[in-house]
Amino acid sequence: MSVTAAGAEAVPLGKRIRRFMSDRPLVPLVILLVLLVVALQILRPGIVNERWIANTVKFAIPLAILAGCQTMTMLTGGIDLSVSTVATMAAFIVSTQAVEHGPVIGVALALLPAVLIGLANGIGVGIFRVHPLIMTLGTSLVGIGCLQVYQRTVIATGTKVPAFLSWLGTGVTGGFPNALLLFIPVASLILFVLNRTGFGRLLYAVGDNERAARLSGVVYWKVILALYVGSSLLAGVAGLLYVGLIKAPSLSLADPLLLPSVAAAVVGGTSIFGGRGGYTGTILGALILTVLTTLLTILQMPEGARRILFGLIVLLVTAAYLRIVEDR
Amino acid sequence: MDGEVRPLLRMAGIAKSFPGVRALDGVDLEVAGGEIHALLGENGAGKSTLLKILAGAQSPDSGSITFDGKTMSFANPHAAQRAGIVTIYQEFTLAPDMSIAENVFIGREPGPGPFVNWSKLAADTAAITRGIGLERNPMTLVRDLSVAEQQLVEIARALSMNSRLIVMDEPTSALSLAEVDKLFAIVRKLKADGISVIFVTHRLEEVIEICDRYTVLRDGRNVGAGAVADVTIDDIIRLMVGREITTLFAHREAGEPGEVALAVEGLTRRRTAQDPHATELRDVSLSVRRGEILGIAGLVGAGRTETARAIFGADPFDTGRVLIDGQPVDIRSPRDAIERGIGLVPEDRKLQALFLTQAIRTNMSIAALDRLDLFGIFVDERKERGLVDEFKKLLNIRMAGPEQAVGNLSGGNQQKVVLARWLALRPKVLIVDEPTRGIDVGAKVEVHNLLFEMAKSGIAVIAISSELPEVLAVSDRIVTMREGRVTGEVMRADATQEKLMAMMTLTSTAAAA
Ligand SMILES: Nc1ncnc2c1ncn2[C@@H]1O[C@H](COP(=O)(O)OP(=O)(O)OP(=O)(O)O)[C@@H](O)[C@H]1O
Ligand SMILES: [Mg+2]
Repeated sequence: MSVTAAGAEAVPLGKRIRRFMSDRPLVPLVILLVLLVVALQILRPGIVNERWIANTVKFAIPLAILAGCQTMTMLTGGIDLSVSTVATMAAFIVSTQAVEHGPVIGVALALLPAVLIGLANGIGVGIFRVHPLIMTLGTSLVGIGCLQVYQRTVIATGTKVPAFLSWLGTGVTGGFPNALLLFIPVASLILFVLNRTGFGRLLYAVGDNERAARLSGVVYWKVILALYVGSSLLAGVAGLLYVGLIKAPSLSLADPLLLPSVAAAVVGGTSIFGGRGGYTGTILGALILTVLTTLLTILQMPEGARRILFGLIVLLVTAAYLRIVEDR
Repeated sequence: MDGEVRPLLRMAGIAKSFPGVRALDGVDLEVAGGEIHALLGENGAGKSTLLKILAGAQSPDSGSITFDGKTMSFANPHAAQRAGIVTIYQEFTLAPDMSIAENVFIGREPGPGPFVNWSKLAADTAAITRGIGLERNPMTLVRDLSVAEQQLVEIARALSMNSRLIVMDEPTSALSLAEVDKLFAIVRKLKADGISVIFVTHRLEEVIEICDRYTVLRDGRNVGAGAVADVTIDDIIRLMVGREITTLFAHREAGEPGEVALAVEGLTRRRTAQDPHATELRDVSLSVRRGEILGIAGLVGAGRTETARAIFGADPFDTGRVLIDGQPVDIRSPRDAIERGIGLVPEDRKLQALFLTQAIRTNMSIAALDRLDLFGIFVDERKERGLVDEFKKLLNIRMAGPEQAVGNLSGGNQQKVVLARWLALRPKVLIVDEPTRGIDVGAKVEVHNLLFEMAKSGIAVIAISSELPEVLAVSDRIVTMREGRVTGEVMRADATQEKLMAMMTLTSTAAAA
């Protein structure tokens, strides 16, 4: 030991910052969100006020719920591409049935296809080992087909968004969007399930190493079945909220949310390969994407350019985030 | 003797810390040309970290590397390889679905432009692999190779790069005795060709057998270096552990074993079209009593692991039955087995046991989650932390805290986490498959003592190991297997290494002790 230690104090600053970030992966996300808001305020002084915040939150919530579905499925190394269809179905059914049968039965009917699609996904992925991408894409197409058939049968009755959903979707009470009444319990539930329950543990475990999970006594298909049913139900709930916000049920209502829901989870630090991530990051991811959309809208670019920019920024952010968080 | 020669490699004052751990604290390492250098130390001493820095896979916080007289700083593994340093990691880095040839020349395939000249690729590969005794078609997929053969592919890759220094991190821990001999023959040949080798192992006899010089690390610092000829195994152990260990492979006085806890009768498993490489099981019968340790010895492919997996419900079998406490049971999945009180520590911790990105806490508790439940829903994290604390002390696990990702632990400490997972369940029957693979000498004794203690508390233990001294040390009774058959059974008192060897290579069940 002739040349002895140059102590740990000599660790360069850049590395120390990285280490700090890798211990607290949410910090860079919060910084990014703040930066985006600041940019918005600079581009359009005065835009950031109480109303704007409430509005942003309103639009971010349905996205955040759908991104919750992606977070949970992605933790197991899967993905749920049927969420937008499920949400659309729930929205469309509630808008056609609630008028006649009242809100309770209307909501129950609306969530029925969600459960069915979730079961199908769970059985396909968990028992027959179909790849989640294919499985959920398949059920999504079937679902949309069914919805089209359904639409013909109710074409006479027309659609009407139930009042309680509009209140929940668009209403603001004392500066706070009413949607928070739904979102706070839902988000707490997801966080609780992921962090504190045995089921949450198993999601991470299955995604990290499926073989090891089986050899540790995890019954794979049960976990997967519960997961996809849960994901689908959440998607249905998100659809109900979203139709209250948009107020115009259509057969492609929630489609524009599908890819952003995946992006929000990824931006929020959840790995599509499974085993890594969490819901807090996803919520931040949903907020970031929503603010980013506003920012791009304000720039008054043509739609095409906006999409290109949106895509590029998502790629950039994800890549940069991984660099920051992964300490070599 | 070769101290005055200018060393090929000199690493000086290397320091590296991770959050919460100072893995290396100013370590020096010198390797001369054409020398086989042993890098030794307990689990977590910093060996792998030092080698990763040498390979450019991790960056040091401080320190310098001089290779062949030039100061180097490797930004990535590619740079180190170009300089002539190739590392074979503790965990292999081959692409399982590519051929041997593609793996050997990955990224450097011969050919006109972007096209691959397949026949040249195959011929070049064959020229190298034949030289190291890998008699396989170069187009064979790596996934169809045994562990030993995969290692040869790694060596072939190293040779194809004209390396001057080959680093092997625990190359022998997954090999059988015969395979180790073969590997050593290759290493000697490398040495004769003037290539230096850095060699990490926890089997210290191997150091005496093949290495020229050694460096010992303890807690990220140098504690000794010198010529192997000048020391004994005991000297090295003293350096590694920093105290005297006299209890090496202590026997235990076996108590009076109780009732038969687990019996297997006529277990048979045939090869199927889906699984054409599986080892067949032919009419395997064995039993283990409460408080007894049954050792299973055999060469690679003898069907020991397959027997364990079949009992545990991890693989199906065709005929035969499993009895627990004399009652036939129907075990179709590991879950069933766990519910009936059977535990299995699988042979490959990375692939079959660990959740590398997850916390130590989660890794330890996963099989016992239903016991940590509060109100049947959420996990009682206080109990969980208690569990981690208990086993950290019991097994002397070196870790930063219960939240550390298991993948950041050293290999041996990872193995201890797996053991803890199953010990926490307090099973009736515990099957351990290669329980001390990659574990250092001191910890090995600890694991053995633990097995003794489990047996003493009434648990029936089945221990599978490729190291005969280990089988002899831990077992009360030993069963040998060959090609899916039980070939004999002896009590420990009557067993010797030679006798077991003979039984393991028997072709029929005729002879038994
Ligand atoms: N990426 C990492 N993050 C945090 N800690 C790490 C990381 N890699 C290694 N360590 C820690 O550094 C120490 C040295 O680990 P290393 O893998 O070098 O040990 P080793 O000597 O190779 O042990 P073994 O014989 O068990 O393989 C250990 O305490 C380990 O937990
Ligand atoms: Mg190591």
